Amino acid sequence: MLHRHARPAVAGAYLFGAISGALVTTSALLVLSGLLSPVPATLRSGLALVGIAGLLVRSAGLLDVELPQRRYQIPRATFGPSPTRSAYRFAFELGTGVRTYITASAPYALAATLVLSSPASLGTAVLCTLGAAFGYGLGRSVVVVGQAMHRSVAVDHPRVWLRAADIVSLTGALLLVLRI
Amino acid sequence: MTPDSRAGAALRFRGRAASERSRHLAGASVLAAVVSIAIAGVVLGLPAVVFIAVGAGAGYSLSGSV
Repeated sequence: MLHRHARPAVAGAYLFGAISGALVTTSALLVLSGLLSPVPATLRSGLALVGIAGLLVRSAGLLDVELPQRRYQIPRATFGPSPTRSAYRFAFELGTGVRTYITASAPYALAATLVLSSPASLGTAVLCTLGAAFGYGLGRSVVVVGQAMHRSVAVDHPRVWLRAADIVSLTGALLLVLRI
Repeated sequence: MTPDSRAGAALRFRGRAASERSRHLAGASVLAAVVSIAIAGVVLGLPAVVFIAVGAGAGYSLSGSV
């Protein structure tokens, strides 16, 4: 996907696809959160806290635990003759977060926060769900969108920033659970 | 004819490669934006904004695998 300079239309389709895909998953997580609402809030928050703390430890390299993920690459059939349509379909699958590999811990923390620590009010919970989907899609697309704005091509982003983003995101999730 | 077809498998990418400095600047900018959005959400008491930041950080942390 990133072997060439992305045109603005392709980058836009990619961004839209990633947000749409993320919206599908976050909506499913919102429903799951509703189903878990009879469980006491303190217990749910406690579980989220323990889970995210564990993910932080894993991200720091102190814990080696395999997390559930789909160990397949997105199939070639996703790509068609139209670059914009292909970008949308590819990004949609990436945006769902459940169709291919997950190489960081933060997406699990985001899911745990949405399921176990969503706001009690339905309106706020829906806003948070939309916000998470928008943010995830934006973050997933930032490399491609960045390419559309620059003449140069950056395929491999420095690992130090990706890892820092993982830790910052995990810390943010922890703060959300702690209601800070 | 594209650079790809001229050079065959030896040249994998089309376009001018970004410099090391610009790649680091891009990464730092993304992270600064994520942190700023999170702080804005906390200060303004808007959890949805903090969710945007957490989501953006989570998404970006995976960008190297695209």
